[in-house]
Amino acid sequence: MKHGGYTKFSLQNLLGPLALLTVATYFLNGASTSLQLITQFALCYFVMVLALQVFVGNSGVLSFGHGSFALLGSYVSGMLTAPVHIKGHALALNQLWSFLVPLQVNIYVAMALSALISGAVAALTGILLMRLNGLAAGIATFALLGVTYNIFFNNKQIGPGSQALPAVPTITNTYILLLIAALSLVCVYFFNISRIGRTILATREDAMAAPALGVSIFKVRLIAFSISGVLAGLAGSMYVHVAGTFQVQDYYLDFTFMTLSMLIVGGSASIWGALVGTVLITGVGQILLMMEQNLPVFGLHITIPLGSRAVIIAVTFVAMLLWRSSGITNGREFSLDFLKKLSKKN
Amino acid sequence: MKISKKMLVSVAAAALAMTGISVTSAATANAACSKPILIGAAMAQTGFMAPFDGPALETAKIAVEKINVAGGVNGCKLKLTAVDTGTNPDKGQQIATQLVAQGAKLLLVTCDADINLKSEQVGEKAGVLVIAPCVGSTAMGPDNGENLGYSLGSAVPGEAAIMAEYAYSSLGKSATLFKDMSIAYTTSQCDAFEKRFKELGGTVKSVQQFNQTQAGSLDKPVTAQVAAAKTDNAGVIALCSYPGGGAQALAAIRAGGITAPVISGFGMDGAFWAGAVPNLSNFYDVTYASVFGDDTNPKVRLLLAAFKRTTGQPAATSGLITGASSVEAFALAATRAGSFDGKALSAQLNKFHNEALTAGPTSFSPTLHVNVSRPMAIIKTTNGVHKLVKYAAAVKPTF
Repeated sequence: MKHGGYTKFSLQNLLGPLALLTVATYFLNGASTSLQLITQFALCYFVMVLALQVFVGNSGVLSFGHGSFALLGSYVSGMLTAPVHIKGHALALNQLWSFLVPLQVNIYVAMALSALISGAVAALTGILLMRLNGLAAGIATFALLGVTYNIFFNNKQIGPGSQALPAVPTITNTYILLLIAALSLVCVYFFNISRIGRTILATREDAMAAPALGVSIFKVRLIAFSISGVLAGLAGSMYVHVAGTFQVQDYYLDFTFMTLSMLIVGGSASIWGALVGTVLITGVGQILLMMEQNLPVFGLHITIPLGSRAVIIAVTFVAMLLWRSSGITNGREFSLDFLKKLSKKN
Repeated sequence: MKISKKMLVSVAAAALAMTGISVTSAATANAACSKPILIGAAMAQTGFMAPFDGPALETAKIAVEKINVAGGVNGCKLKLTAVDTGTNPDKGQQIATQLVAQGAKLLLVTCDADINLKSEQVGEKAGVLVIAPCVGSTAMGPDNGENLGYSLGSAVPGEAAIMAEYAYSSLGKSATLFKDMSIAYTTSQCDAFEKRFKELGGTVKSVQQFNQTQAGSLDKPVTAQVAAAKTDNAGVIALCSYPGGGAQALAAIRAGGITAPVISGFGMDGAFWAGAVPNLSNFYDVTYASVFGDDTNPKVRLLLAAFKRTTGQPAATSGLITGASSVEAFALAATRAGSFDGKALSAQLNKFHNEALTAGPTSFSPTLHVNVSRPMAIIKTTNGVHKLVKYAAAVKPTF
C-alpha cells in the first residue's frame, strides 16, 4: 500500500474539507478586497486541483495536459459571454471569423457548456492517451498542452491569439464560486468512493494484479480522464470569469506547474490533500508577495528582494518532494481520529 | 551641486506654468483633502516590461513632486505608490485591486495593452481613471471596453505615417521594408508605413521579413534578406524593429554594402545599442524626443535633467517622458473637472486638444484614447553622432 485514498463513505472525510473550504472562504473574502480576489482565484485553482486529483491522484499517472482543458473551458466561456461590440471591434480580435462575433449566451450556460465541451475533448484525446503508461503518458499529455496552446496562441481567426480578449463578464460574488467548488468537491468525493473510483485505485496500486482481476486499465483511466476534463474545463471557465479577460498564456506552463504543485504538496491521493495544497501554496505565495512589497505580515515587517517569491516556492517544492513525497496530508483524507489518539494518550 | 528647496520650487513652478496646468493654491485647499490623493502604479519593475515601465515610473514620480511643490491639484497633494507587477498580468490585477481599495484615483499601468488589460479592468469597474504611459498601439479605448483607459504614448498610426511621409519627402521615392515579425508593434508599423508610402506615390520594392528571439537577438542571420534588398536598390530602407535583433539587422544591412538611408521608429530610439553598428551614418529615427541633449522642447530638457539627477543615469530612450505626462494629464483633467472621479476625468480627457504636456501636444477623443497626431522627433545619425532634425506630425495618421 503506497498511498491513501479512502473507499468507504465517511461523513468526516467529506465534511472536513467542506468545512475548511467554507470557513477559509468566509474569513478571507471578508478581510479585504484584494484578499477577496485572491480567494476567488484560489477557488478556481481548487477546482482545477480537484480535476487533477481525480485523474493524477487516483490513477498515479502524471498529466501535464490538463491546462489544455482549462484553456478550452476558458475560451468557450469567454467567447460566449464577451459583449458582441467588443468581439466586433477590439483590435486583438480583428481577424476573428465573423460567425463567432454574435454568439452570446448566459454566463452559467456558458460555464456548463465549457465543462461539457472540455469533457468531450478529454474523452476523445483520452482514447489515444490512455493507452500509454508512465513516462510516455507524462510526455504525451505535455505534448497535448503544447498543441492546444499553439493552436490558440497562433490562430487569430478563432480568438485573440497572443493578445487578450477584453471585457469578459465577471462573477463578483465569491459565494457563487464557493458553491461551484463545494459541489465539485462533493461530486469528486462520491466518484472516488464509487466502484469505478475504487477500481482506479486498484490499477494505481498494482498495474499487474488489477487486469488479472478483470479490470480494464484503459477503460477506468479513460473515465477518470474525462471526468477530470469536465472539472478542468469548469475551472478554466471560473477563472476567465474572475480574471475578466481570456488570455492563452494564463493556462500554460505557470498554470500547469502551479496546480500540479498544489496537488503534490498537499498530497495527491486525497481530496483533503488537494484542498490543503491549494490553501498552502496560495497562502505562502501571498505572504511572500506581501514581503516583496514590504507590507506587514501579521504585524511583522520582513522584506525580501523582488522576484524571490518564485525561488522560495520552487525550493519548498523540491524539499517537499525529497522529505515528504506523498504530501503534507500523506495522501490521507480528513479525519478526527488524531483527536481520539490524543485523548487516549492523556 | 546642492539644490536648495527654493530653487526646486521655482523650477517646478516654472515647469508647471509651461505645461499650462493651473493649480489651485494650497491656501484654498478644500476640507475634503485631509489625505493626499493616491496615484497607484501597478507597473513592471522586474520582467521584460521593466526597461519601458521603470524610467516612465521615475518621471511620473518627478512630476508628482513638482506638482506637490507647487501646491497640488484642487488643493490636494498627490502621493504615488508603486508596486512591482513583475510583468505578470495576474499580479497586476491583484495589485491594482489593492491600490483601488486603498483609494487610488489614478492607476498607472504597464506599457503594453495586453499585459495591462487585467489591471485596467479593475480600474474600469471601480470607476477609477487608468493611464498607461507609453502603450503604442490603438488597442486601449472604448473598442476594447476601456472607457476609462488611456495611453499617453504616440501610437503606431501616427509614428509610421511620419516615417513614411518623411521618407518620401526627404529620403527616397522607393523603399525596401525590413519587417520584424516578432511583435505586433513592428509588424503593424511596417504595414502602416507601406500603406502611407504607397498612398503618397512611392513604390515599395520588397518587404523582407525577419524574426528575433525573446532574448532579443536575430533567430537567424539576415544575409538573404540583405542580398535581396541590395538588388532592390531602393532609395530608402524602413527598418521596423527594436534592439538587439534590430541593431543586428541594421549592422547586416550596412555590412552588406547598402548605404541608402534607413528609417526606424521609437523601437530603435536611443544610443544604447549603437555599439553593434560602429560609425553608423545615414540613419533616421522617429521617436518621442531627443535624449541627446539637443531637444528643442525646454520641458523635455528639464525632465531629462531631473531624471539624470534622481536616478544617477542619463535616459536611455525618450519614451520615459510619457510617465511625467501621464501625471500631468491627470492633474490637468482633475483641475478642469474639479473632481477626481474617473468618469469626470475621462470626460475632460476626451476634450483634450493639443494640450501642451511634456510629451508634446496631446489630444484625445471619445473614441481614440491614444495619440496619433502628436509631433514626433526625427533624429539623424551621422558617424555615430545623433542630431535632432526636426519635430513633425503625421499629415495623415494611417490605421
